[in-house]
Amino acid sequence: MSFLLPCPNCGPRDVNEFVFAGEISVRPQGPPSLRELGSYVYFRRNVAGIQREWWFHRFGCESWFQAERDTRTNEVLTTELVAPSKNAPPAPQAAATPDTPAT
Amino acid sequence: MRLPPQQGERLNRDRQFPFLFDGKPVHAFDGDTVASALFASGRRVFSRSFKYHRPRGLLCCSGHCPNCLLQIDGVPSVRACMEPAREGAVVKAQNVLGSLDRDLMSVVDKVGGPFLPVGFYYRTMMRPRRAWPIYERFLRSAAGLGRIDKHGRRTHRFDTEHRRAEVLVIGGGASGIAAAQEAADAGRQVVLVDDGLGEAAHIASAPFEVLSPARAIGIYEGGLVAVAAGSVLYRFRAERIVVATGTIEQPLLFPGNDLVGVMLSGGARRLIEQWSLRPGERAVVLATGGETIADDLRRAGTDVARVFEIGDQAPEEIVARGRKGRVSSVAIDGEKVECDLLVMSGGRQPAYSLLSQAGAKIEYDAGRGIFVPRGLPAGVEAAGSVTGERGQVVQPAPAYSGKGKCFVCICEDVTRKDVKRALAEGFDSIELAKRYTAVTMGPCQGRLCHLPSIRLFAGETGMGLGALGTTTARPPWAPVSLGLLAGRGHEPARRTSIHHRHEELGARMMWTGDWRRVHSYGDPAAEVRAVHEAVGVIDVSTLGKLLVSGPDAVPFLERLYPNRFADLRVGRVRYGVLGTDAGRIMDDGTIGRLAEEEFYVTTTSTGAGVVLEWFRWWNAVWGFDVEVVNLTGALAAVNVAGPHARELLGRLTTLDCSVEAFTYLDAKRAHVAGVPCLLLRIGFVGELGYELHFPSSYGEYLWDTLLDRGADLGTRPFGLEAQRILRLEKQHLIVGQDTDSESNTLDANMAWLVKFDKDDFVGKWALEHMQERGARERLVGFEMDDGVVPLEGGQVVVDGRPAGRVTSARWSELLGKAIGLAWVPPDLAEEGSRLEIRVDGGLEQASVRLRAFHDPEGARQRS
Amino acid sequence: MSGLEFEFLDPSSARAENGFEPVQRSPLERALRDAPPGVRDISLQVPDDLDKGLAGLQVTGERLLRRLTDLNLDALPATGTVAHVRATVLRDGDEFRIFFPQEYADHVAEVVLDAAAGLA
Repeated sequence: MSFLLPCPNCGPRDVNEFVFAGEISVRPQGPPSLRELGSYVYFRRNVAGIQREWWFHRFGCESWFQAERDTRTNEVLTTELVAPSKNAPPAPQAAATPDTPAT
Repeated sequence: MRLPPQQGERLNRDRQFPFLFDGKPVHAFDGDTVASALFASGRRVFSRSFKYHRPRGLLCCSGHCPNCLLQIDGVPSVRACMEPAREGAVVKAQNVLGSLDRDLMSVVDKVGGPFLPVGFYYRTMMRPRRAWPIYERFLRSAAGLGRIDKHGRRTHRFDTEHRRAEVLVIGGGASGIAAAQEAADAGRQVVLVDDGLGEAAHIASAPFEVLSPARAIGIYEGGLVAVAAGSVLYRFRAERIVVATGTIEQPLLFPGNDLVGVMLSGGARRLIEQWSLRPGERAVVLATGGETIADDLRRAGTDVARVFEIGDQAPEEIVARGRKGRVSSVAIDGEKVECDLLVMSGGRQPAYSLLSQAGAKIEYDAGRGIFVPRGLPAGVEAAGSVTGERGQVVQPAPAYSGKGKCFVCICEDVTRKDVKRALAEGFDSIELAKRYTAVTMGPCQGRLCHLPSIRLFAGETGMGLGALGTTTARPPWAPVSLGLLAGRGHEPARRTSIHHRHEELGARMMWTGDWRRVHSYGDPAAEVRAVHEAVGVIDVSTLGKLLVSGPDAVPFLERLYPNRFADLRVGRVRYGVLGTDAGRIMDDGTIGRLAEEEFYVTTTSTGAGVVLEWFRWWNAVWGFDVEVVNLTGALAAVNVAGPHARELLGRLTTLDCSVEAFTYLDAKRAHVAGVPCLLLRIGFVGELGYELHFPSSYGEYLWDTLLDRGADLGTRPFGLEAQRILRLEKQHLIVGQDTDSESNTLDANMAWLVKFDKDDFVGKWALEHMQERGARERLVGFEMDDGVVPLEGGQVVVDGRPAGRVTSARWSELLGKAIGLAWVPPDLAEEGSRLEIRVDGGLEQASVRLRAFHDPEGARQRS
Repeated sequence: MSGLEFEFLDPSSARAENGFEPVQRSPLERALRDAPPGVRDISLQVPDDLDKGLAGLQVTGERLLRRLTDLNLDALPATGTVAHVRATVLRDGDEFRIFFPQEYADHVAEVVLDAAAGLA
């Protein structure tokens, strides 16, 4: 894997400078049921297409940012630093509802 | 036979020198390749084929085929037709038992055929099973082509270099040069890569950079192109890649097509033009456009006996015959012509592999009878004949009939009969057939056999070539040594600023992640004794150290840890455990409050990076007003522990270290021996102890001072092994040793630090569910009845079945017992419960102990 | 980072007292003892605005840098991977200053000296 990831601070860099932290998921806002907690912790949509995900620039600016990447081609469409509001509930730009377990 | 200088010859006849071939000197001109010099000296057999050990001679002279692979100066499988001759080089044949001219293994060709059909290794040499060691020894010595140093010494130096190019042109023929020129004229920074055969290497002053001889071996994501240039691997990042790799002349398939003296027209032409050599005395030409090469041959003094235009005359039968492996005649539809040189050409196939790697689709152009690249991705272009848009249409027969071995793949000695057999056995897809027959899997990697084999498959199965398609092109496109890919092989190691003192003391070192740490200084038991009775000092600089500061420091830490920190007074330290939202233990450490809004957080040695990422990620999500700074390398840390630690410290600082002024879990700052320190009174090793954190550049100085000023107190340095024993006597767990990715704080006996009354913290919900569900297992201490130390990872057995596991175990000299920690079923987690632990296949008895083995009240560490 | 308690731990706060004379050592001192010209230890001259606890190397020659990093040398200063570790690189003509976590000092020195030997 050698695609270039454009860090919002540092510009295009080899993807191996970064830590990948997976697709963005929604953290429950209140105490979740066991099923909701299980979904949040273990399930992901894992789309074959454009995915919104977290990256950390470990060998550079050491900042977290979000990216939109086509998981089929590794084409990175956007990257941006996230500026959350302290009082708003934590949520990604586009809420992704994980599949719930079969049981 | 060396001719007078031909136009365009690459020789400098003013300089000549010898090199050795199989021990005998061979003369070469400056500009000769090893192969051209050997050919000039009269050599015609250059190698023996892989399976049948048939003699093979020069075929392509372009670095595509395997026929000229020789060992040169200890490097196996060098393409002699591309390798410049060097004075004093030691050249040897490979894959022979005897010599090139008399190879004893050629008996395989005479009698081995029936035993070595395609895929023979799936069928033969399997019974009787006990004969396998004999078969294996034979196969191992017969297999392979070259030989390497079995002791694996690094004898060559390979380097890796990073380069950038606005435009990278691959291929230095006419089209490559034109593309490079055009880009340079437009003001781009251009680099052109050529394998040495193109004209680019000989341009006097190009307005672009030329790397030659150099081979692009792969195109990867992100415009990354790997270029092998001798002993340097260049990693190019290019904005635009222009692939001008041209075409590869294809052989014809007919019985005897591998005989010495059968050459591709391009090979014959190169011998004449570049090295002024006459390729043969009497030639037959089988080609399209055969007259051009025939003219070149005549000019070189070769008698051209016959010229067959394959396209026009479409013969049915072509059979070449030879004597001792060298061609002596060819019969075309019954008409026999004597010759010592048979020049053939089956058309030219675009060398699309790099384009295919880059993402181009490979389609069959039925009109031209070749596979061509289409649909190039952005940033990648094709120029010249590789596009498939030029060149004549040549459609030779898939194979010509006649008696004798007709080779489809000369690298792997795969014949037409093998291909028919594979198809008959059901391997009828191109990918399966490739793997079964090994066609295209040899040194040429399909350059000379991919198209012919697909034509053959199409012919035999009746499927169209377009429907069959091509196999996947993967890097490397040209052979590279593993050494070149490996480069220098450095692996990062972290060392504390005190490291060299440990080495000077003769410490036995060990790895903790990528840190070098002291295992012991030779006598862990004595080190343990020193901590219990006098003073021990241990270098704990590897601890992760994070400074968390800002107006929201408290709510931030409260949300991350199950602990409460709002009530942690300034100047106090608390043990904390980090958890995940799945309720699992991630890391542990101490959190010291330096000021209202300033916390000093320590982590495990291997956890510092991960915890920093974790903290920063949660803050990207929550947006608290906090700053997290990684001080892990900036500060060294030394733990001074033992009953005389206070006295030692008192000699070095004016800070009041009395038990009243500096109590257990206090954090203070002071100068120690003149060095500014943060002192934390914590007790991992169970005795009175102070952990000193200070600027790392003073590491050696402070270490030396502690040992020096504490010498009369019996101060000794101690390492990780001693530390493990000491903490085990206190039943202090080590995250990652006694816990794994599934462990939680409740089951690990740390429920006391989980504050469920907090609104929200990472892991709260999961822990609530776990609390409700009840423990599945519990971490307990145990002591063995008979002093046998179980292995870490050893099984706890209940009713004959595995029910738990030992995570830590050691012999404690102080207690005179073997002690440890283990995960056990909850109903066994009672003081005095009996355990059975598997040791060496048998069962040993142990008792559960829920309190620290040594000083359970903690009086010594609080003293 | 001003006004923090932690700043007490700055190396410059060390002082001679009561017969003690603190001695600082550069993490690269030993490894670069026999370094060729073109590779110099500048650990004790880390710019103030970078994090503390860094080792510093001054290296001459763009070609040597290209054997150590894939950073765009025309877009410095930047932080990226040098000799397999995270490092900040500044440029002044053909002189490059590389700052990296001091615990990697021996490793980076080994890689740089080896790369220089490969170009010699």
